[in-house]
Amino acid sequence: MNNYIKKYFFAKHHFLSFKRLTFKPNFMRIFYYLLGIMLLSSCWGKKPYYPEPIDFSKKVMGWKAVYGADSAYKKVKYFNTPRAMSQAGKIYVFGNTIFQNDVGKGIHLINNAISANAHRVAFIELGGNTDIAIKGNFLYANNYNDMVVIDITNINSPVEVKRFKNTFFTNDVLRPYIWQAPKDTGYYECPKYNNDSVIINWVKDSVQQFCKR
Amino acid sequence: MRLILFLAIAILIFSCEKTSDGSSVNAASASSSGTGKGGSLARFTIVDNYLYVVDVFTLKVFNISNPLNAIEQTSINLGGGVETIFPYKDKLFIGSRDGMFIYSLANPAAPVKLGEARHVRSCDPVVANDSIAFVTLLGNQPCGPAQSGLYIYNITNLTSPTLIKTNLMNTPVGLGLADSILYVCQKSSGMSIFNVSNPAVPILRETITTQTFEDVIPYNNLLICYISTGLILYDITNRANPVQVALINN
Repeated sequence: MNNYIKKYFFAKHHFLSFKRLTFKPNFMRIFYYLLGIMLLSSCWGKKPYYPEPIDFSKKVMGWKAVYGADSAYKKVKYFNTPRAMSQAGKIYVFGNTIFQNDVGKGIHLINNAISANAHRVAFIELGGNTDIAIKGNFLYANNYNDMVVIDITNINSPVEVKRFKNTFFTNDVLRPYIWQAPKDTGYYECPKYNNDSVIINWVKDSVQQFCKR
Repeated sequence: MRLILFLAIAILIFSCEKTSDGSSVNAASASSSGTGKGGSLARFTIVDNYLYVVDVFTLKVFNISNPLNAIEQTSINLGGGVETIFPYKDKLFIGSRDGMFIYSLANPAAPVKLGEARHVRSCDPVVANDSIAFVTLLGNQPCGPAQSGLYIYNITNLTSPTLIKTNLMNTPVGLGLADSILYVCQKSSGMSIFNVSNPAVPILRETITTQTFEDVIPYNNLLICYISTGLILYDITNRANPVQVALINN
């Protein structure tokens, strides 16, 4: 029996021969193995983006747009008292007045006659506003997707004198205008461009999976 | 052979690390008689009798010689991703996510493109003077993968701006130029003050980190800063050493 085992396992050319188990390091082969591993691992942690198939018929929780009539929301309203900043926006300076946008809400007026005592004095409510420019007695601003010209000859009583309706119609989903998308992330109802109404708010609701932020 | 393999490996390993780099330009706004002054993030600007507005895809030109009867004169397609507009003399510098465009206002009613500096996608305000344009690129989402930083271009030849210096920064946004001092807002990283008398070698003088800075308007001896909570004003009689004079926030 013993002899048989010896013969069987130690036979020179048997496939289970211990000799076959002798490990001879082959550096070139190791090198290629390492190369292979590195190739595979160099992209670890950077998953390629494969969008998951979306079932567009299925609605999910998201944000639904609330529309308001242009006549009620696309207008200029002046308040002769200062108010708190909601979300600070862009700045503009003209003479002794600094104008600061409150994103999507309007424009704060800051009296800068004496800089050390600069302070807010009034607010021009202008929905969807982000930008202004001034020349002479006229202020130009966006009011949702409209462009308005406001006479500020008497800064305490600004008057709308001209309106370009729906002139800012573009929508960049990456950087939408403030009123074109909800503040929070998630799916939202894509904006519709109506001739007589505009998005004034966003509420939680089930929506289709198109627009997303 | 082995050397080549090592190089190949190195390239492969790094190929997924570095997504891209790039440059861009952004403008601040200037003023002509009777007009105000905006920050570098502005989308509206007025030069003489024309109001220029950049929408996402277009440059809109309004003739405002008679404000009561302003006219939408022209609309020029810019290709998309437009962020900011900065006027300087008879030029418009337009910062888009894909590059900085320089438009001539030789005919103010119909601006003509003179040149552009393309860069990888990013957000990018611009300010400029006669020979140099300063651009900040914010390379984070959703703007694009550019390497964030201050990019300085020689614009002596307006048709082909050349990049002369890149100064990498974390979160650069609005910027403003007062003489040879450049103020660069960097959100929560503060506002950096550079001496750019040699624009190829901007020298960092100081960084004010007391606020979250978004944009600035140098206005004579006053530096008006848009911060996350409102406004902060500095006296810049000494351009390199802003002294706080007022804080109007919340």
